[in-house]
Amino acid sequence: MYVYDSFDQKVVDERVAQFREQTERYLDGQLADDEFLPLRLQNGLYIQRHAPMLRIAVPYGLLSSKQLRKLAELTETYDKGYGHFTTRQNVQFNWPALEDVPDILAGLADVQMHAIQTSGNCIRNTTTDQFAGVLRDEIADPRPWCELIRQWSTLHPEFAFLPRKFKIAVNGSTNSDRAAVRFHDIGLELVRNDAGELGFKVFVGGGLGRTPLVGQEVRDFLPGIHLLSYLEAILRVYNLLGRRDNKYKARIKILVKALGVEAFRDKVEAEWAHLKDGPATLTEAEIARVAEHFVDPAYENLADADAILAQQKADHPGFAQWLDRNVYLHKKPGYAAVTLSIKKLGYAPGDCTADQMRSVAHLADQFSFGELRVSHEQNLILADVRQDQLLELWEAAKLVGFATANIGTLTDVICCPGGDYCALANAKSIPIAESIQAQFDDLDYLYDLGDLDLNISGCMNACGHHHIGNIGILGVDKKGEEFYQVSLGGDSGQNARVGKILGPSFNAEDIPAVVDKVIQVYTENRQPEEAFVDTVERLGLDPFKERVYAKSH
Amino acid sequence: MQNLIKNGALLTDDAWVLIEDDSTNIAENTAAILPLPRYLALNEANNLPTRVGVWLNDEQMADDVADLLDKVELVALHFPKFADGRSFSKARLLRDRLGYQGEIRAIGDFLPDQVDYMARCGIDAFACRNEQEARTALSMLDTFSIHYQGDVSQSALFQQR
Ligand code: SF4
Repeated sequence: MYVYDSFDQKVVDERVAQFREQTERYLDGQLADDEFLPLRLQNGLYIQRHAPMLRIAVPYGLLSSKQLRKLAELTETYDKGYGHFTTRQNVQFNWPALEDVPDILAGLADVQMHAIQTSGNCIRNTTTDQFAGVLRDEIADPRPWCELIRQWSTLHPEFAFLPRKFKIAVNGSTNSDRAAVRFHDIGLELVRNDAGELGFKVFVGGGLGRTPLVGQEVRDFLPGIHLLSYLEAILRVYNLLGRRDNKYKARIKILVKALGVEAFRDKVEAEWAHLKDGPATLTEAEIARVAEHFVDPAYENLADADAILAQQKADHPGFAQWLDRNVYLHKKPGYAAVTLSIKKLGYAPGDCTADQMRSVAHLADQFSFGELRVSHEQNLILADVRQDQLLELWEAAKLVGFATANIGTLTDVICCPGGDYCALANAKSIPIAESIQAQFDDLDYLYDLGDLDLNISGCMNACGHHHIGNIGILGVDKKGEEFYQVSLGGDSGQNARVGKILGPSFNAEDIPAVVDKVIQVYTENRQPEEAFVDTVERLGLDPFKERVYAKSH
Repeated sequence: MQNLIKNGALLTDDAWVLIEDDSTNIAENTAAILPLPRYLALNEANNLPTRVGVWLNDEQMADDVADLLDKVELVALHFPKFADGRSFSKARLLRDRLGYQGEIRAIGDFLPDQVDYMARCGIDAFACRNEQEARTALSMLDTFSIHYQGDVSQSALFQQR
């Protein structure tokens, strides 16, 4: 992973000093609430329903075991002994005291971490595929590009006060899109042109929230060296022309929609004509310098351990299921990528105690070169595990409760903090996740249902990405009461689609039964090997509506 | 104007007067910063003050003054509220694209905490809201010694690495 040099370290250290001074001025009464607001937001500090919330950047989801141990220590010293992994691959502390935040940031800087631009109307943490760098079908590793974007966007003087927040995602896989690039302000897809040169297909204007939209292609090939100047052109057009009169219409997607993608593209290209080949043009040397940090770890030369695994599967049925759901193909023979499920019944998806963090750090040291990744599904990944050590890892993960073999199934729910924690919520979301997990606790049944994303958001801000869940659940407020709207058919991947609303919303108590009926329609109608989302696409919503809204006799 | 920071120092004898709108009277021999429409009208009437600058409101863009940059000593960018970041891009366009060498002055509702970024975008004078903020702003001009991106005066860090 990327290791800071003295320049990078200085940036985060100076940022801590700056924020310490700003916090002092605020506590001193020299800065008004509304003036401190954008300053603290650009350091990840929100004021939530119960206390401040600090969002810490995990650049493109990559963490070392040392960093994870530091997070454990910080949450014990300054918070309630647990953190929350978010759908944007970051981590949040829910209860820090404002006065302590400068010290927390200083602790983070000690392990090359920060909270820079994790909130506010600026360029946020860039995200990517949790399996980046180890995929078999990868055009190129997206992580060096994410790091180049991280450095370029960090404390960018021109783009710190945009009309609204701005999110960039990069995908390097040919057959899948776990980074959901078509649902970001800018989505970058690594591609090669006919001459074999590496570059990007560029999508702009995707996003969720109140107006979910799929990003539109503005360029089919952007050579890698021009990445930053092209991003500058897009951001400048947005900064000057994006709406600032209404925060619900301020995202770039609204600008792209209002102008039309053709006119938007013309403006970007006109701006880029001036910037292209200018000082923001990357050098091959810089691309190589950053890429050096992402070379393969010291893999052994192994063959795939098929025979051993077959035997172990026969001996341990639970292990077989876990291999099936939680273990992912690796580019290197003899290795595998493993998802540790940190979701537990009764706890918010993404919550992780300090002890759990230390346990995962230990597993990372023991089995995966001391590194791990956060997935947008709010799980943790060990990306470089020897196949002949999988059984041992499974046993160890079981002991600490991270071996639930449900990855990608209905109960691997993505869920925002919702009404239990979030001041903006219309409704609670965590208890909904729990009621569904309790209803579908039969693993064999879950396996039979196969891949199925269920996403829950507590309000229109869509932090739980409900629009792109195969089943999406949204908390709505009706005359002060909590209701839930259900949508079907959302897809975050290459077939990017926003789910369609099933009909009138439901009470919290009805949700497990509603999901059950939706699943029944699927199991009764699916064709062999047909995934849930494809059945929804083929049948349309009507049969689901009929079942769910049928009058009981 | 009062509480002005220029060339890294707090100025007490700034001669420029901000002319808010079309009706404001301009006394003789005033160094006047005019609203753009007023500038255009006085220019048309061949009646510009001897020392003249122009200020842009939030909707007016760098291109709108492209033709008069060689005639004004100063371009002021008005921040309607500190969260409105358009002037950061306008300043860069004035410097990088249009090659403007005169003073670019921030006016209106901005925070001392923003002057570091503003300076990097090419703004070189800051009319702060009060004296305390001007002092704070002065101390915040060089908050960061390392910059990843290029700006109006420096190339990107990667070119120096
Ligand atoms: S979706 Fe709404 S309720 Fe959930 S975390 Fe985001 S803002 Fe809060």
